[in-house]
Amino acid sequence: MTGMTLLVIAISLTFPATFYLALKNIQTLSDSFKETYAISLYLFPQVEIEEAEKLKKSLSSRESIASLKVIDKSVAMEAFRQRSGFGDALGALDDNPLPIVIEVVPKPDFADPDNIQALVTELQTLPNVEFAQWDMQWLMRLKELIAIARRGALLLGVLLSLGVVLIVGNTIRLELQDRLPKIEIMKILGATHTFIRRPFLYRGFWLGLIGGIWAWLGTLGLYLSLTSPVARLSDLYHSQYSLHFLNFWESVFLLAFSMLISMTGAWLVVTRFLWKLRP
Amino acid sequence: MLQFDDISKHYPDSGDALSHVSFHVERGEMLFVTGHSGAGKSTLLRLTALIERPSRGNIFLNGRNLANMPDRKIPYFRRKIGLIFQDYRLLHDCSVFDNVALPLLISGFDARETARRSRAALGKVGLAGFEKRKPMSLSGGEQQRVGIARAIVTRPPLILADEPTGNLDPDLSIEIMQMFRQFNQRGVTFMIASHNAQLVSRFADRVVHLEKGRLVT
Repeated sequence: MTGMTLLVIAISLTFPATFYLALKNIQTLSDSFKETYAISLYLFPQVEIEEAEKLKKSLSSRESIASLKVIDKSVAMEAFRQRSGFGDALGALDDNPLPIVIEVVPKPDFADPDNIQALVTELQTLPNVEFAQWDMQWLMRLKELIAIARRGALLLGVLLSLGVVLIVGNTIRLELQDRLPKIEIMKILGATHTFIRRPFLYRGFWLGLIGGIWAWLGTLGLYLSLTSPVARLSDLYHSQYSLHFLNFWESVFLLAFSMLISMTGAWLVVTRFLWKLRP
Repeated sequence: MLQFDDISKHYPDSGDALSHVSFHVERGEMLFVTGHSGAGKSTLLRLTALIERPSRGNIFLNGRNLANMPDRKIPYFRRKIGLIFQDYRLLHDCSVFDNVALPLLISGFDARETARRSRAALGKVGLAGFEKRKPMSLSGGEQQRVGIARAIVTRPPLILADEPTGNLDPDLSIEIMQMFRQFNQRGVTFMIASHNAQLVSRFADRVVHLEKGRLVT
């Protein structure tokens, strides 16, 4: 019975812990794209650098904008030449076909999708701006998805924790019934409810601690089984990205939480049992 | 010491177990409550130990009205009285020593004092050397002596015994009663429920007779 209980606790907690870990890693990944929140304003080709600087100046007073950068045609051309591999072909062009671009970086506390979208629409209407582009919409959508998933994870965590409370409660209830004669004798000899409850709370404590350790190991197992595929994938993208495991405090939290909920289960059941038994 | 004032106990399914019972127990006496089974002897003891509450009336212990005692104080009250049962009520998965030590453990005595007092109590009931035995391996008389050791280990001024010799043969019964008498001579007050007329006439200081829940004098 104890083994079963421990297994149920472990599985119930491995789920939310793994879910949490996955979200944490996706979050870390998406945070690494933060610097690319910039909006690119493509000006009309005929717009000259003086006008672009004027536009930059007029935008710089806005509260929602953190920084602005004017990228001149020649600079853009040079960058394009280096990166695209069309260097020689570009040499054949008579003049530079690239427009001037102004990079607009919104302030971080302003950077939620709705605000940025509104900003993009507004910038679009400015004179001299041919179009405003914001590439990171998918990132924002991802952030929203993470937020939804996090809520789901929380709900799952709450439900499974409730399950732990019930399974520990049930285990303790069976033990209480086993020990009913002993408990009655102890009451007759003057044992307080606190005294009778104590060993059962210890039991809840140990169930929680060991179940929590098992859950931690289960999460570690899932993590380890994913690290090498993720590393290979990351290699294919020439990325340095690697998975993170639960840190020290998150691990402590997992164990403490496990002990807390299983002790709660034990406490509830014993208290109810003793209350029905009184006096 | 103990005063019963117009006590009635009514059970919803079996009617009145006690009705209008009034008497008192003097300090240092050995009082017997007699009557047929079902006359209300056990109920009287259970009310005194606050295992149950009377439907009407008051019980005073040393002038204190037990009816006013809140449930949370009952454990501390029970530590001051010794209880002995017909079926001994021992813990069969514990040793004799652990059974006797239990009330001290409950009261929070340290291990040394607990061991010392438990051994002394076992010595007083003639069971020195039985510490490690299991209750099941003892005879009925020996088991009851473990029960007595458990009742006296906290040195209570009052002991309530419910048919303590109900399961024992006459010789053992007399032995148990003589043991009670010894403790009684050292100042412990006894209230004993028994239907054994022979024992009662031989050991009782005073008798309270119950018939169908009523006091008969």
